Amino acid sequence: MLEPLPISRALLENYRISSRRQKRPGMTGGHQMRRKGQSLEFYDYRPYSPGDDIRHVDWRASARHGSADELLVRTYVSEEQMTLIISIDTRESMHLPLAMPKSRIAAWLAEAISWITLRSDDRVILHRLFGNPGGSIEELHGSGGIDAIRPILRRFFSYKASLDSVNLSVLQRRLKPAVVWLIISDLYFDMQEENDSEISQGIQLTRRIAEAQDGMRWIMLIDTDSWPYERFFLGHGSRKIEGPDLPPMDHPLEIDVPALLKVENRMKQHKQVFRELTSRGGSDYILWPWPAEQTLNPPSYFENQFGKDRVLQRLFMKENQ
Amino acid sequence: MSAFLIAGIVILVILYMTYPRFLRRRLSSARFFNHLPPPKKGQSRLRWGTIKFTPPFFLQLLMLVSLLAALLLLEKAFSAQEAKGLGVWIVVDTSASMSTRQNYETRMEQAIRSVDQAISRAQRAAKDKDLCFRLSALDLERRDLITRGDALAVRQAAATLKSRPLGTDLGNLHRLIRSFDNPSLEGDICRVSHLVVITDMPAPHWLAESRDVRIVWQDIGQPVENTGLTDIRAIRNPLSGRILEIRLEVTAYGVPPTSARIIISEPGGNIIKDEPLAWQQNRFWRGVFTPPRPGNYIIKVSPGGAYKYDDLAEIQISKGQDVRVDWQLRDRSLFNQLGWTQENVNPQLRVTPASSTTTGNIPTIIVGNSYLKLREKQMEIRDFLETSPLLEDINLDAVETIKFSAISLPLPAGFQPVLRGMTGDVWLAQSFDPAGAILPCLPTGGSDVIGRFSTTIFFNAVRWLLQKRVVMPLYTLTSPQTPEPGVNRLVLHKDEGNTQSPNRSSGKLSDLKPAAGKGKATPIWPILLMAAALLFLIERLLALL
Repeated sequence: MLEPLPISRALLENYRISSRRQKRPGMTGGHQMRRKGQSLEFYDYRPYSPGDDIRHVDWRASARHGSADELLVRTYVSEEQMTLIISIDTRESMHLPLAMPKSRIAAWLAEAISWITLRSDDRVILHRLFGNPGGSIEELHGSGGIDAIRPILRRFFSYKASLDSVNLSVLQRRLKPAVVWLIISDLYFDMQEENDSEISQGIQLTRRIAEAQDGMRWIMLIDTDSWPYERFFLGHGSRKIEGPDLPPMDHPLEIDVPALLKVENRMKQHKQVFRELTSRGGSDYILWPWPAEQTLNPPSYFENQFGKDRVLQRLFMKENQ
Repeated sequence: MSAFLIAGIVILVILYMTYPRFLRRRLSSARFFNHLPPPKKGQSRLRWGTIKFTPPFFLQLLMLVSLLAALLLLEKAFSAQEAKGLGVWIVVDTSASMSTRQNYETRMEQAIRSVDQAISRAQRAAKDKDLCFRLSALDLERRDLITRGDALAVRQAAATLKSRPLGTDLGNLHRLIRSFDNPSLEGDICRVSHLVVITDMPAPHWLAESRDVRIVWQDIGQPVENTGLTDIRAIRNPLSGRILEIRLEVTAYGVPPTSARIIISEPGGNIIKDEPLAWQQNRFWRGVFTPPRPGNYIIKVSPGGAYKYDDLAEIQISKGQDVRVDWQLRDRSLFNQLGWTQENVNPQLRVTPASSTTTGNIPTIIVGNSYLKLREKQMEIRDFLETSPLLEDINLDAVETIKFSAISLPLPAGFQPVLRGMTGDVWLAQSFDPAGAILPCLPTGGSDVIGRFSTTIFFNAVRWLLQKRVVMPLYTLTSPQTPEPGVNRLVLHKDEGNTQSPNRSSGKLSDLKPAAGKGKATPIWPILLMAAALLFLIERLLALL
C-alpha cells in the first residue's frame, strides 16, 4: 500500500524544473542546453553570418553596438524537453526497518520528483533497478502522466524477485546525453566479484553509472541510510540477527561496542568502494540518514529531508529563490 | 485427567516465566554481520524471569482452569435462584361455626384481626419487593372477594366479612391447593406465593401436597362449651308416609350442662315437651316425640352454649303423604281398605292383572289369577332367591304345603324367578329395573297358611316397591342459595357445632417472606466447557491478528 505523499501539492507547485544552463560536469550550478533555434526567450547577440535569417537582425543593436559593416543577430534559448530517469531500488533490504521502511521514503521521493518534473511538461522515466526487466520501466510525459505515478510505484514495490539481479538493459537506449539520472538505493548490494565469469550486481551498477557520466549526463545518487536507527534498535547484548543476504544463524551474536564498530566500518568501506567506482565528476551523492530514535515519524522525516536537500533544490530551482 | 490438566497449568506458567537469552532483530544491514565472531560456549538459551502477564497467558490459563473446573465439578449443579416478591392469598372461614363466641368476641371478629396481622407481617417481609394480596371467603363455597389488591383494599374488604349460617366444604380448599401446581394466571391476578387460611378447623393432613405455595393454616378456634341439636329424624309409616314420630339427638361439647333442657312447642305455641336432658355416655341425649297433628313444631335446647345455630329448629309436620296407586284390578276391596288414592297419571305404584302389558318405570305388582290350595303332598321347592324382599318373613316349609298354579312363561322382560317348583313352575318373580313383582294372587284374607302367605308376599311387594318412591325429607340444610334458616331449613351442618375440635395450626406468620425460587438444577460442567472453548477461540483470533 503506497502511503499518501506527506507534502502538499501547493508546496510542490513552488518547484520548477530549471535545468537550462549547462555547465561543465563537476562545477556547481544547473545544467542548460545551449542550442540555436527558434524560441521565444532571447539569449545573446552574435555577428551576422551569410545564411542567417535576415528577420533575426537586430538593427538598433547593430547601430548602437556594432561596427559600420557589422550586423548583429539575436539568438534564442532552445526550449528542449528534459528527461529525468528515476531508478528505484526495491530489494528486500529497502523494505526494512519496519519502523520506517526505506521503500516508503523512496516511493515518496520518486513521486514528488516525478510530479514536479511532469508538471513542467518534462519527461519522467520510472525504472525498477533490480529484478526482471519485464514491466520494470515506464515513460511518462507532461501533466497527463501525473496520475500514473502512484500505480507504477505501487507495482514496483510489490514486485518480489527470487533473485535480485540489477536491471540495466532496459535503460540502454534511454540514457541519452543530457538526461538526469536519479538513483534511490541503500547501496546494500554485493560489491564482490564472485569469479571471473560473474560480475556482481554492485560492480555492474557502478560501471554503468560511471559510463553515464561520460555522456554529460547528470547522476544523482540518494543513499537511504537506515544504519543509525538500526544501530540504536539493536542495542547491546545477545542478539540473533536476521535479514537479507545473511544466512540463518544457529547462534546469537554478542553485540557490544567493538562489534558495532566492526560492522560500521565494513559498511563504510562498502559504500566507499561504491562511490569511488562511480565518481567521474558528473554525479552527486546525497545521504538521507535515518534518525537514531525509538519512535520514527516518516511523514515528518520526509518533509524535513526533502525541504533541506540542496541537490534537489538545484535540480528544481524553487520559484521563490 | 485432572492431573494432566494441573500439569498443563504448571507447564503454561513455566513457559511464560522463561525468556530467551537473546533478542531477535531483523535488520536491512544484516549482510554486514556475517563476519562477527560466535559467542562463548556454555550459555543456556533460556533464563528465568517474572511471568509474562500477557493476554495470551491469561487466556490460556483461564482455558486450562475452566477445563479443570469442569472436570472437578462434574457432579455439581446449581439451581437458578430467583428473587421473588410476595403474593399472599388469604382465605377466611365464614361458616356458621365462626359465629361461636370465645373470649368475649366471635371467632369471626378474631379472624378479621388475624387478617390484619397477616397483612402487616407480609408488608414487613416484602420490603421493597413486589407484594400483592388476594382475599377469599370460604364456607360451602369459595367467594373470591379480591383477586389482586393492596393491603388497604384487603383490610377494608376483610372488615366487612360476616359468618354465614352454612357449613364448611374443605374440599374447595383442597382443590385450590392442587390447582397451584398448574396455575392459570389470567389478567390482573396476584401470583400466589403464600396461602393463609384463617379458620376454626384443625389443619388437615393434605396441606403437605402443596409444593410451590407455602401454606399458613391458622386455627383460631379455642375449646368452648356448647350444647345443641345434632340430629332430627322422622319415622314414617312405610305405606302412607305419614310421620309417626320424630327422633331427636342433642350433643354436649365440653362438660354437659346439668341444667340443659329440651323444649318442644306445637303449632299454636303450646309446649308439649319440656324436660331436662339426661346425658348418655356423658355427651349425648336421644329422645322422641310424637307430633299429635300436622303443623309447625319448634324444638329448642336451652341453654345452647357458645354456638347458636344448633339451639333451635322449626319443622313442619305434614298430614302425611297419600299413597297414589294405579289400581287396575277389578276387585277394589283391598284398595279401599288400604285407603290408597287412585292415580292414573303419575302413580307411585301400579297394580295390574297378569293379562295387561306394563310399560314405563312405575313400580308394578302383577297379580295373577292363580289359585292356592292345600294339598296332602308337599310341593317341593326346587330353588328360591334367598335375598328377594318378596320372601321376607316367609316360612318355606309352610309354602311347600301349598299348591300353586304357575306363572305363565315366559316371564315378562326383566323379571327373574324368586320361587320355583321342582317341575320348573315359577310361583313368584321380581324385576329391578323397572321394579316389579309377580304374585300368584291377591291376599285371600284368611288366617290359615294360605291367607298368611298371600298377605305376607303382597305386603312384602308393596313395601319394597313403595320405598322407591321419593319421600320429601323432614328438613333441608341451608345452602349458598338459601343461606338463612327457616321452617324445615336448618343449620345442622356436620361438626359446625363442635366447639371442642382439637386446635391444630400449621405454619406461622413468620413464614410470610419472599422465598428464593426453586429453579431447575443445572449441571455446571457444560457451561465451563463452553467457556473454555470460547477462551480458546478468542486466544486463537488474537494470535491471528
